[in-house]
Amino acid sequence: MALIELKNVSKIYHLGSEDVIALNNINLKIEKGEFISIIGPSGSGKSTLMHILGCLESPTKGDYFFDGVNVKDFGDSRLAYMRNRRIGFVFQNYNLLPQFNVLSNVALPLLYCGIGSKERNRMAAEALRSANLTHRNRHRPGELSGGERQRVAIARAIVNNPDIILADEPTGNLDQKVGKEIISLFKGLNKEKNVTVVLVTHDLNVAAMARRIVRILDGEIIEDKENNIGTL
Amino acid sequence: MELYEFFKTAIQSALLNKWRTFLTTLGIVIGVYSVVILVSLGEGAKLYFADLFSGMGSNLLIVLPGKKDTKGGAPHPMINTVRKLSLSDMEFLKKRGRTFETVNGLIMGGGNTKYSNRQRDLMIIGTNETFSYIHNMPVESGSFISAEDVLSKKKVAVIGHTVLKELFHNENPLGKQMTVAGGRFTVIGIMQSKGQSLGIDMDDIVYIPLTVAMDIFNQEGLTRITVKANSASNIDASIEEVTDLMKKAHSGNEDFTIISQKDMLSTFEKIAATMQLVVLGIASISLLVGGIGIMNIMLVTVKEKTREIGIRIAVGARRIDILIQFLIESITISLLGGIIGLLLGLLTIVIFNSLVPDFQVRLTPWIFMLSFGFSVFVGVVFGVFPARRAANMNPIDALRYE
Repeated sequence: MALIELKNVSKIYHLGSEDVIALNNINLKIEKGEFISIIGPSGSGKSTLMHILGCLESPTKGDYFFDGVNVKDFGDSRLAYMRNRRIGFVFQNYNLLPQFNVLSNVALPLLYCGIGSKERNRMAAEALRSANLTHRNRHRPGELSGGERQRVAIARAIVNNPDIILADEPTGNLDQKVGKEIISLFKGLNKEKNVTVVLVTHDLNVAAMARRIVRILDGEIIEDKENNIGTL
Repeated sequence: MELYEFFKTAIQSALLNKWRTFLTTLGIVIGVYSVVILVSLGEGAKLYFADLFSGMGSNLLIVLPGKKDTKGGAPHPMINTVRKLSLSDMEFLKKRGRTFETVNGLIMGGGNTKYSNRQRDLMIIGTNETFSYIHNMPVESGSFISAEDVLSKKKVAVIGHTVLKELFHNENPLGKQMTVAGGRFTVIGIMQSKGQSLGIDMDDIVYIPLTVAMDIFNQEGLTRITVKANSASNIDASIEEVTDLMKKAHSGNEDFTIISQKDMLSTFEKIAATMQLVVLGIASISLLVGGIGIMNIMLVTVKEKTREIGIRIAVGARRIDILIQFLIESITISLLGGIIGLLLGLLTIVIFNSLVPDFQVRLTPWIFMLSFGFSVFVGVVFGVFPARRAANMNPIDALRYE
């Protein structure tokens, strides 16, 4: 059984009197342990796809099966549970809380599953080690470099041992060298922890790092192919 | 998320903008402060009056000459009436009364007193032997006027502490001769100090036998007759009996007024109740203003934290978690204001009480509950709208918010 299966998923936004079709009849299967890139120009619908995969939005039409369960009709609490336990997000602009230190930022998802503060800190420190960022735990995000911030964000994404990491342009704000390090971190996590990684990008070089590339244009999947892993 | 974590987050957030938080709490500080002060003043006043009445003696009915329809306040003691209260009225009540234990007659006047080369104008009370017992005013030394003194019109006097100090310069007055309203009197007792009551110095009085006073003032009528009922539960029966007996003595006419302490107390209680309504009004207005201030700042905070809300939702916060987070933040701010207001109020009361020892402002335990409850209430009521706004945010828009 696929970890994720989208069946005839459409997303339509009502903007005033106009209907904007962001996703049109998407069918997509992602197996556990895959490393997949979704590429497309801006406005192609890849972000919307990502939000639906991440349970931040519900599809207008179609079904979304996560581990065999249709999450389309989930209420707020169950969607929150999915985001908390099964999905990890990484954003282009890191989205860390500036007033909290690194450890607290990483531990944030654990707050919402009732884990005590000692255990939270232990798990957060471990996630930071997995993200190759140690000795920065007490710093605030503002004191870190872009690459370090993205590692904090990745640590936050994996702290609750999710099934899947959804990364939205994770290298968009980083220079090439640091971007490469971040992608190899994803690859390492994918390999060692068998966590599924979905990478949304418009950078073909980054996309080429994935074993499978899904190309999206005007809300439709126009290509879905295996990839011979290249180098950055 | 555990409650404690919510509070931690709320306090962190409040500390992030210390000045803003402080200024926001001011409305609540002032509201709770005024409630604490006014309620404590009211409680102090209640206590003051309760003390006053118990100092007068308990279960008393006062019979005054003339019919007054209004209850509560005492009519002017010097008022002229058609039918006066006489000694025989008093004797009649004493002889026939069943629901009361004792009766006292009293006549009040003013006069000049002299001792040695000192003189003083003061209040002279002519009364009989029951006065001391009925009004709970024992003598400190010597003895009070006796029944025998009244009967034989003996010229004896009992003096208060102020008289002792001003006229006798604290030398032992017992057995000494003093002049009261032109007559020579032997001092036989000193009253225990009573202090001020409603602005009258209760120690600046000379007591002489009732019959002697009636002669001196050339009065046939008593200023009042006081009846002490058997028990508090019997007051109404006593009122009825005194009314009956007095009517009989006055050939069927109800040309007298009976005031019970209950009537007087109820007057003061009415005043206290009105005061409490005023307090409630002031409190409501200031807490409303304070609450609007909190709502205003919370709306700003929610706006500022748009991105944070998006992040929290993305990592697994439920909408209810977001709602509670902001609700607790507004409660925290409000509660902080409540605590500051309460502490300032307590400080003011302590200072006031040390400066004005005669009138103690009283702290009741429920004032703590009241301030606490008020602040939480305001925090919840005015926090709901901003918190709902936060909880209903679209997480995608929130994450994109710059």
